[in-house]
Amino acid sequence: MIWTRCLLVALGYFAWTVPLAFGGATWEAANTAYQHGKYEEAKAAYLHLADTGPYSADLFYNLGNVWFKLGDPGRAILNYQRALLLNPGLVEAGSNLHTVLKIVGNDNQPTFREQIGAYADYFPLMASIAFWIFAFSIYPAWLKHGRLTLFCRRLCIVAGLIFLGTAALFVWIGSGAKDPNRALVVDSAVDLKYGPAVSARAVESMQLGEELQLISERGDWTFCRASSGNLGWILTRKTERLIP
Amino acid sequence: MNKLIGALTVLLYLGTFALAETSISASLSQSVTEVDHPIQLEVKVENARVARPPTVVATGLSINFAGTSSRTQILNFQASSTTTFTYIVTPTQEGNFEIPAIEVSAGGKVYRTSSLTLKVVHESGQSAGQPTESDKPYFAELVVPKESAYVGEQIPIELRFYFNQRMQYQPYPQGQYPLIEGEGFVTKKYLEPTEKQLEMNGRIYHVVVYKTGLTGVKPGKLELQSATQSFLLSSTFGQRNAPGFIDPLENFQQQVVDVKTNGASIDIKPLPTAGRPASFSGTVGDFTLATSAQPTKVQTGDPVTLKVEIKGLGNFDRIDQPSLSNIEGWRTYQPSEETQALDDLGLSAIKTYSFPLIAAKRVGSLPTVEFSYFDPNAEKYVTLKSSPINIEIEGDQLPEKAASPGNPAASSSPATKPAPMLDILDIRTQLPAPASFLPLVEQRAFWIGQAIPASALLLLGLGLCIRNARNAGQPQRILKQERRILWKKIDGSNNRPEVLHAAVRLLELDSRPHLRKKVTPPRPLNELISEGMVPEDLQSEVRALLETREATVYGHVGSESLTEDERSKIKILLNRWKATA
Repeated sequence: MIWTRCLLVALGYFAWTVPLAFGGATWEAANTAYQHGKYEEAKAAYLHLADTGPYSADLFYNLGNVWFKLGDPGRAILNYQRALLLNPGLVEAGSNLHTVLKIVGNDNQPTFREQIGAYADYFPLMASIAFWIFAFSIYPAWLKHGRLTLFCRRLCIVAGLIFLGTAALFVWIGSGAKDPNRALVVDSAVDLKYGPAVSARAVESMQLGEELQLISERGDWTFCRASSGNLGWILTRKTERLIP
Repeated sequence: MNKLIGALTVLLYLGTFALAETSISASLSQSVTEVDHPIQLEVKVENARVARPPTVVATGLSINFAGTSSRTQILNFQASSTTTFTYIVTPTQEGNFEIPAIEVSAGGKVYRTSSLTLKVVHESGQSAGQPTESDKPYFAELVVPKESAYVGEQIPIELRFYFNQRMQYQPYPQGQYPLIEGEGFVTKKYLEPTEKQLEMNGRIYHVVVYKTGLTGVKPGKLELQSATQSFLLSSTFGQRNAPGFIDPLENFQQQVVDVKTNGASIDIKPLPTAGRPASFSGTVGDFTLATSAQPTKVQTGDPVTLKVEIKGLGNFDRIDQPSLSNIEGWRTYQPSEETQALDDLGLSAIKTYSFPLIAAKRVGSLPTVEFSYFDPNAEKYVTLKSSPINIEIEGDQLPEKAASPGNPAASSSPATKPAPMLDILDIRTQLPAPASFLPLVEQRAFWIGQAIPASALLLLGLGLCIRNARNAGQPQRILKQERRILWKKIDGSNNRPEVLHAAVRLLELDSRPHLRKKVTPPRPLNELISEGMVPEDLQSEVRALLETREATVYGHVGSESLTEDERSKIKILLNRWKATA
């Protein structure tokens, strides 16, 4: 009984504090400003929420919409990607991202690794669940004089295989889409160069919303790997990290 | 025939020459010199015929025209020509001098170079940057031409490494560039070092000069502690017999030394906030803006390229694309950009933006361009605006919906249905659920979640162990309890059959070997005797006890009550039995 009461109190506290922590009033004000076409005002409010409050997929989705309305497709793409990082199932973010990429002419298709990288968090979760099922079923399945059931043995084998598969995927994907060194090109007319100088020769021209893997920084320049695999230098201010 | 070929060559030359663009640049052979030490000034004019050398005048400097050279080359049917005017600049006094922008007229247009800065130090070598250690076999100096600069302003610097003429030297390892110690600045990529020879205090030195550009990134005192470069030095023991004589048996010693320069400090000033234009993106320097368009007569829907050239001296890294205004009637798209360095360091360059435009209706002029920068010499912000370029447009107004820039012809066709305008889905308004950018395995909740089944598994294992241990000890406990009850009967009861029965039972219980390891049911004493498992000295007594019990219990023979003598005999037998077991 006492445990039930404690649980109810905890749930009540959580339900009360989460909207407060998110800044419900600012959220409403930002949404209202957006709906009235006051995009600069909405942008300031959403950015304030992103700076102060907990992150959320919806917040970055709305921020992406504001940047798009303000004519900055690069940052719109960035924020839709952030929303999808936090919630890969947010279909609106996926749809708007597709639209903006189409508008800016970026037709780069994500690789298989990038596609499953969006679900990188699911692999350790599945691996852990499979592992515990395996661990709990191995004793009854292998007990000589216990209740040896065919069900337990089958469960043990299936859970073990799932664990091995998901663990291998997890090792391959790593942090996946949540890699802190992932960045996007948010400004147009930018080249990947052979050296950290404006006079250096260009390796390739980067498209808006193109993904980069940041390696190191020097002054205004960042050494990075483009999605094409080319290495080069890019102006740091023309890129932004996906993880804020 | 030869005349025809000659005429064609000339025509080709003239044709290609006409396509090449005219540019002009000026450079000094050194940015720092001494009083009365002449240096060279070169004015290069590319792809233009200039008959007279331009006039160059600067206060505090004696500038004399020295000569003209010209060069023409045709590469891939692209002809280019360069005319170089050389001047000798002799400083007459110490200080910082500016050679103003040089104007050259060509083809009815006036072209200007960027202004140049020259630092002149006193011959005695007491000024900053002049080496004071010229008695040493090697030394270095850091030459910074300015004592103050603005944040983002490019400062050309030189690192000079002096070596006595008797020393052989090379950077170690090969390809290594000097390291400047200090913080709050960034440098450009080093140029390949140049070498020269000069005489100082009657000694001849070889000088290795590294040039780079330095930019302060934050306001305040920028302290450059030193610049260090490792060299592999080879020197001879002792003195040579005569200058120029090389003794093949001469002993050389080699060593790697770190050669350090002097330090320098530069006052980095913040960019003023007053009067900062909205379009300012951090560009510092001195620039010019020029625009051109191709073609100048089009139909509505046809693409026009507006080329914007930003030329000058400054931090080209910070130049953002210029903003377009008066875009009414035009569809604008993202420009491509290209940078062409005009000097080795890239401090002076031309950055070209090509804006693809499509006229949606008849308008008289192209959009105008605006570009802002901070001029450190004038110490103010400058906003350059291009003058409108007239254009002739024919055709009907395009529909409102934008056509793809890659296929402008599609929009001009009245039969083609315009593509629907792409738009985005509306915002989400419900209060969002918090989420984290941390990967799941780095979140505390995940590991707390793992601790729950881990604890359960641990408890389960512990419970199984306890249960097994308890199960293993249970029969032993029961037997122990039975043995205690039997002994109690033997000690306290006077009922003879009961005591005899208890005694036989105790003998049976104690007869089992390895009692602790394996629980086996007790066997009847008769069987044990017949199998010879009872010691011989006890066999007669055990048999007597069995017979007595059977006679008493089953035959009802003898007394019903037990005597003390009988009880003690039974106890002795039991103890001996136990000891034997």
